[in-house]
Amino acid sequence: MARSSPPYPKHATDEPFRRTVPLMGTFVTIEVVGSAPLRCPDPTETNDAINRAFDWFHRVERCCTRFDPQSEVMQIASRAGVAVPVSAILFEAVQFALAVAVETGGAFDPTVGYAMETRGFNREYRTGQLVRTAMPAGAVNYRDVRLDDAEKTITLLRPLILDLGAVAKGLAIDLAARELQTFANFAVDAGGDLYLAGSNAKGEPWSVGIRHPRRDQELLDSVRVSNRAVCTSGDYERRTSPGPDGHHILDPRTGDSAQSVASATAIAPTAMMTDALSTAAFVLGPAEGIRLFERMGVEGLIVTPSLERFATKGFPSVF
Amino acid sequence: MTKLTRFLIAAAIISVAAVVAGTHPQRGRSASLALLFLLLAALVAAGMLAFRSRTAEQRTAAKNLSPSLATLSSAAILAVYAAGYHRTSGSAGGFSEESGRRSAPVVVASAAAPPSSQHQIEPLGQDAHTPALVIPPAGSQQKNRLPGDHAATSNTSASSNGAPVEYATARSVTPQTTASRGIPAPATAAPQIAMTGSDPDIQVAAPAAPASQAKPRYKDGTYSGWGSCRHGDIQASVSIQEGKISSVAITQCLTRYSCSWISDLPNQVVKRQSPEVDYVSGASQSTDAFYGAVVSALSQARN
Repeated sequence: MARSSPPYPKHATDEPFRRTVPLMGTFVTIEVVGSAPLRCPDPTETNDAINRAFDWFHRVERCCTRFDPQSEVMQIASRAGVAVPVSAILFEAVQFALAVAVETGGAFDPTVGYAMETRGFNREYRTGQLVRTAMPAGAVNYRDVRLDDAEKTITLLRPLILDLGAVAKGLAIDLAARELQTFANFAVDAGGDLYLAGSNAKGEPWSVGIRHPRRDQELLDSVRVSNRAVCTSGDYERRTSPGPDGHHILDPRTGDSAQSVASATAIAPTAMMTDALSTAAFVLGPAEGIRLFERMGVEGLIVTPSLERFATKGFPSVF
Repeated sequence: MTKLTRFLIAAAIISVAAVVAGTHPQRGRSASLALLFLLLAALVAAGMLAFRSRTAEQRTAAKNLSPSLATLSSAAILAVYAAGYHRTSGSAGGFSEESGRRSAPVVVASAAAPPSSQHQIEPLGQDAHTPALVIPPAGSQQKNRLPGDHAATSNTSASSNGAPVEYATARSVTPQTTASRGIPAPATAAPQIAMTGSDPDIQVAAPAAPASQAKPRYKDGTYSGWGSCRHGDIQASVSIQEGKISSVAITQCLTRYSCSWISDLPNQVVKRQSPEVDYVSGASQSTDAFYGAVVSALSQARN
């Protein structure tokens, strides 16, 4: 949609557009690079598109946050046994989360919400307020969630809290990427969960560093990717107060923090996949995690707490 | 077992059968024996076929299995995108109202913005009002550096309680920033705050309310807020002047470890723009506390 007489200096389109907004408990950055081959973006249009992309994050967060009793996901928590009609965002997020749960034999399980809350992951990151939901005790798992694809309803067989953390952020990234797809070259960075389209400002595939799980200022590895999502699940984020080994990824099968992996990175066509599969691989451990990656056709790198590396055969390592 | 070995076995059995049939003295018995052998050969051959088709099936299954999540996620994205498209274009209308270049139907749609956008969990607000961190291209950073840079630093520390240690300071950057990047500032240019660490600039831009809007978005004054992370708590102070964010500073850093780690925050962002690496996967660490502090301070300043 190139304009016949551009109201802006031509070089304006060569500047990358980059904006960062605090969202979803982290900083979300969207960058659109230079002149797209598909069309010549003008600043107004680019800004509108970036605004729409950010809006997806708002909407997904509003719908899927565990920290707001009014959010859709918390509203259905108290309505066990009832088929509740839900929004497309919640339905698709839950449907995908359940599919991953089935594929991983429960190593990934969206029903760990209450366990997370009782383990101390209940601080609303904006207000610092603690969230406490009254729930009857009892083990729940993903089989306690039923979906009706025709009616778009969710039925919880027991009262439970869905934790869509891994899937919701991925979905928001993918929706933002979908919104920006008219630009061939862009990057969406939601606190280190990335989607990278096309190439960077130098016209090369995007270069992505993978954070070292133990040394803050070092990179574990770096990869070159294009049109791929990259996500790393680490044990170094959001530790809970109770113990030194309590981090934010619980093994749904035991209810404790998973211990055999320090960081798990996945590279796949969608951020939904990378977020969910890196979390699942983190829980499964290095050997099973790599097998999961290979079976799902994604590339991955897993590092143990002793810094032993396991990677899929096709992992596009630069190092 | 490969196709070739199976074929060879089948051929061997047939030839044995033929030899047996030809040489055995009792013709009738040999004939039935040969028949038995032939049957065996047929079974092996059939097994070969069955084996082949099964592996083919398995391969297809494996192929179907791996992209199934890919397909499912793509379908999910499309479903949500399609379902939410109109609402999103509605808010996009809201975004672009100030630039006033949107087609009429979209602007009308913006009137039907989701009511939940008023929800209190969104202290940052929606649409055009979302505060934003803007990381300018490297080339423009020097241009943005104003001579009066450090004035805001002393102001901020004076306005916050006691004599806290400052780890990052900020100054106000005028809308010329945008212009200097070769992007024309919209009619309602965003006021921006920049957080200067030791070297890099992270600009926190808070787009102003549209000029038509009489009430400023934020009340004037200095507000402070706390944020927490696993290391401890951090206090940030945000100063508002004429309804706009004029400066941000990290005023207290009560963490279990040395506070020096927070000074790496801007470095990490800059690192993402370094020539070697565009972005870092898994690098959101230590933004939590700072994030919470800024958000909390801004929520107090809201009108």
